[in-house]
Amino acid sequence: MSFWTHERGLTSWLATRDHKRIGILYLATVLVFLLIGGIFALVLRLSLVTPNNALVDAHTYDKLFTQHGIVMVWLFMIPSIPSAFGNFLLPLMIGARDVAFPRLNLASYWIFVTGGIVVLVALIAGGVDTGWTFYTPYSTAAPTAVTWAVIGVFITGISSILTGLNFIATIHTMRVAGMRWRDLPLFVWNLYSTSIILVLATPVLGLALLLVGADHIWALGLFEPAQGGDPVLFQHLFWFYSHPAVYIMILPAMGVVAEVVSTFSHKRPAWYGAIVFASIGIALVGFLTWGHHMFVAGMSTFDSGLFGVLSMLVAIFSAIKVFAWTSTMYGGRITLATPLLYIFTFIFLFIFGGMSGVAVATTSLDVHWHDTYFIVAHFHFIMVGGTLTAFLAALHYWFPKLFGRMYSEAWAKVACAAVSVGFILTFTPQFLLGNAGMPRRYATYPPQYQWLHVLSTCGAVLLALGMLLTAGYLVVALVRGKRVDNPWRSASFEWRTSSPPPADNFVDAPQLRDTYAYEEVAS
Amino acid sequence: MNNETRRYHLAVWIVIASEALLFAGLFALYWSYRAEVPSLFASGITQDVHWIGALNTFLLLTSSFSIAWSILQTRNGRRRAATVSLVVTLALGAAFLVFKLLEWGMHARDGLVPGSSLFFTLYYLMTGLHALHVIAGMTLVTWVTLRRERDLALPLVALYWHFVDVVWVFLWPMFYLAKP
Ligand SMILES: [Cu+2]
Repeated sequence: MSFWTHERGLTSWLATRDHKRIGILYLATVLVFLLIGGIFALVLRLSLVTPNNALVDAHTYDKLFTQHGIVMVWLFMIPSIPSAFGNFLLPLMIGARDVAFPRLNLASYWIFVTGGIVVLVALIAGGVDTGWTFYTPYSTAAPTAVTWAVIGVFITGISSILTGLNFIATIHTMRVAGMRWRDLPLFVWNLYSTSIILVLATPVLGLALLLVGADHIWALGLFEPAQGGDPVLFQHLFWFYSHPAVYIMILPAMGVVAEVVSTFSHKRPAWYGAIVFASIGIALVGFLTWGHHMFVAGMSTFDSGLFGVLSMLVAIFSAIKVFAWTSTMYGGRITLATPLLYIFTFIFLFIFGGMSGVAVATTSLDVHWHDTYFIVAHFHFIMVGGTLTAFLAALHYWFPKLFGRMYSEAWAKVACAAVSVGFILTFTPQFLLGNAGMPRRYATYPPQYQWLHVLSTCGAVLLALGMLLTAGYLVVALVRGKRVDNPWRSASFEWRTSSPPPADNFVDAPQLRDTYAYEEVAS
Repeated sequence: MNNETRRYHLAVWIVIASEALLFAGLFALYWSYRAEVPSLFASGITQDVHWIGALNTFLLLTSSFSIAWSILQTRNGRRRAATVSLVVTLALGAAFLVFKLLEWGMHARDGLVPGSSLFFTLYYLMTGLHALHVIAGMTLVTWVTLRRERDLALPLVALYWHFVDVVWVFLWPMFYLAKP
């Protein structure tokens, strides 16, 4: 009997302590937020088809891009892979019955939902027009629902910290007897790195946002120049979290890449140690790069140079990973299934997004690109494209694990093509727009930019169609998909129990040593 | 240490690390503003009520001792002595809060409220956040006092209580002693 049918009834879900059910709850919740954030994005893109507000007026436009950012960053991308797939898979991958603190895990989910609802109410009731970055001094004086929005984000931050705590404690103390650190699947290593950032960076964001909220209510003037405050200090606090937040999103994505590449090449991951080293390295160096967001905000030349060089260091760790993934595929028996195709898109976006990242970390070039569409395109390529493609790869790869059913590979490939082409078509023109001088966050623009905006919107529509198609065949597969157990013939730990797993995860006591034993499977 | 004890210890250390970063954000603001406008901080520190600052430091340090004493008594199987020690800890924490409130009231009478100057805004934010942590710590101490089984929980609660004290040990010189 699987965990789906083990207990029945609504409370058996809403009050569950089973990490698998909590993972499913997270998955359903973040998909709702993805839909909401996606609708905001689509309205924005459609409105930009003509130079003068095709769809919404300028103030609504300001609110929409703010809401798109807040929902996508804190309600979709941060929790997406770690909270949904991490919760479901982590105990399975280390041979544990559950996470270290199951009740805390459930609390973390409900705190997340509470925070999400507060954010949504703030966005719908009043709207917020500060940009997702809440920059002072505007955010402390803005006549919109800033206070409620920051309180909502603060609450989701508590959920993040609790999830990170739970994962670290689980990895340290719940491994099956005999499993050493070097036996951990790479996905687990990446969850570990992400958890470190969740635990250490999130409180600083929480503090910065609470200060904005308090300032908004009581006019403390902590960041208000008229009262002696320094608005740039807010930017320091904000980016001390929000730069590492990029790695909260991308590290679990990298974990997915490592697992998918290995499974679909039917081969042990190349350079296991180097990937682990690079994951931890990214998590640690990621704490020292936040200043690259403030090159034009009045930072000294020396500091800018230092932050620029440290930021480029991350590219070295990232390159190690790209080489490791490609050499894993080299000489493998490759199955070109949808999860791997999404990983190809990931690697493409990751390389170009990463290289443009090195470019914008160069202080002199950043002056030209700062606050233009070039930056928008850069971070959408690396952070959004990376997270979204890896999330979709994970969703397809582990779909049979979660539900015990198979989706239609043919439709999935069509959707994958639409999503990949759509995404690249949306953001490539934005690199060109930014380089030509189009600033971000503007509702209107001079007519010479129109053709690039139209191209970008076409891409966004194609992307939306691909996502709709994905939703369609996955829902069909939930009901009518062929029953399968391990369709990918993966050797990884999580596939060694049945699909979907029983409520207790394993029927017999698990013996887990080598997660990538492909020599045995091949024979 | 068995696995369960390790798990809870790890969790409390992670909470402390996370909370330390929460305070670190405010510390960073404090030191940045102190470097930008030292005169404001010099005059602010003169205006603080020094005898309350010193007394409160004494109260919290003593409470750290009393909670450590209660662990020792628990290990020796003297439950009643441990309980007395925990109640003393609670009383010291409550006294700290009373004096803190008294001090805030004295400042407010002089017109030194949040928003009146950067120094006093930071003063209220940092001592206020710390006072919230004292309340959280007292809640935990109350909980462990009422518990039958204290062997696992008491050292963890004490760990958190020490952390709250250590934060104060940093706040004291920053707001009462060390002028720029
Ligand atoms: Cu950054």
